[in-house]
Amino acid sequence: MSHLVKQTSQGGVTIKSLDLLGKACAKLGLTLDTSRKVAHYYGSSKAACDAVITLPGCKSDIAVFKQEDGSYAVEADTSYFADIAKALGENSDSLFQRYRAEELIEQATNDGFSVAQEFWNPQTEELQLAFER
Amino acid sequence: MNRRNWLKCLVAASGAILASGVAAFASKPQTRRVHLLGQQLETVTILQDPWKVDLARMDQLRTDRMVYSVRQDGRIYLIKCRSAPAGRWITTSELNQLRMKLGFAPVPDWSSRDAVVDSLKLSIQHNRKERPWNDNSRRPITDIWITESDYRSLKSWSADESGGLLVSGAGLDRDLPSGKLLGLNFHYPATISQFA
Repeated sequence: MSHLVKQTSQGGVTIKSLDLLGKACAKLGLTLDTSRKVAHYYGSSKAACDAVITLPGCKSDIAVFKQEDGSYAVEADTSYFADIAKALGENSDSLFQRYRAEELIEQATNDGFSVAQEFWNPQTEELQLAFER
Repeated sequence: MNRRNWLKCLVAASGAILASGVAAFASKPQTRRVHLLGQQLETVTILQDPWKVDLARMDQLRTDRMVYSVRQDGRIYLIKCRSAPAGRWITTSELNQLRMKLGFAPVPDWSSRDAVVDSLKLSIQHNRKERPWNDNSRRPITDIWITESDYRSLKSWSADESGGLLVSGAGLDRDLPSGKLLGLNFHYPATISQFA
């Protein structure tokens, strides 16, 4: 029996771009596959979805669903698969935070900046980004 | 239509026109010419939502380096930015002066909190989840908790809607400004000097 957890947003963050989600996944050691439309969970259970996120060496997938409002939700079996829970963070907050950072990077890049430095503050759990041009 | 009703209609119509004008003004980015660091800047455009990424439109402030913090709740804070014309970092205080000139709430200076804590001889407890014993508020728990060094009383600090730091707590032995917004006029300490 699986324990699926679906997350549509975290704080004020919603996932609107698969491109940015793919970049966020890559930073967390995950891979977004937009060609796969079926996610495999615990045992033989699976679900039709719009994309699949995989973690190397993990037998369970993270499903990505497109919502009615155009945003994306992620669903994963975080109870049985500690690796997934660790990569996504509690309530997928690491993924959503990283996605938010990718939004910021995209905007800064459009304004002519590039990322000069990234710093993770483990005490405050804040991701700090320095941009330069 | 008698004279009284005609006047009512006139007042209502005037109010509607005024309201639509105000709404139209509020929904558009404000563009004004301002001074910062003693220099005439190019026209600065600041969008309405102070928490948007385009906070202070850094590009138009002619900055060449800026540092943001992305929190787990999804909020993005500008920590600091460097002015290319001035050739130095713009402090939060200066940035907030600019923002207040333009009619926007100051940005929180999260990077200065450690210095504030030091100056008040308090200690900071990150990621504490339970409330202090004397905090009966229902405000959301944040990751910022301040403990007085003598442990006789506890305070919790959290971000309020304007981004300031709100100090709360009861039974305090020291006369700290409970309930008062702090953190708005502090200059950057060296807490994030790894970026400098």
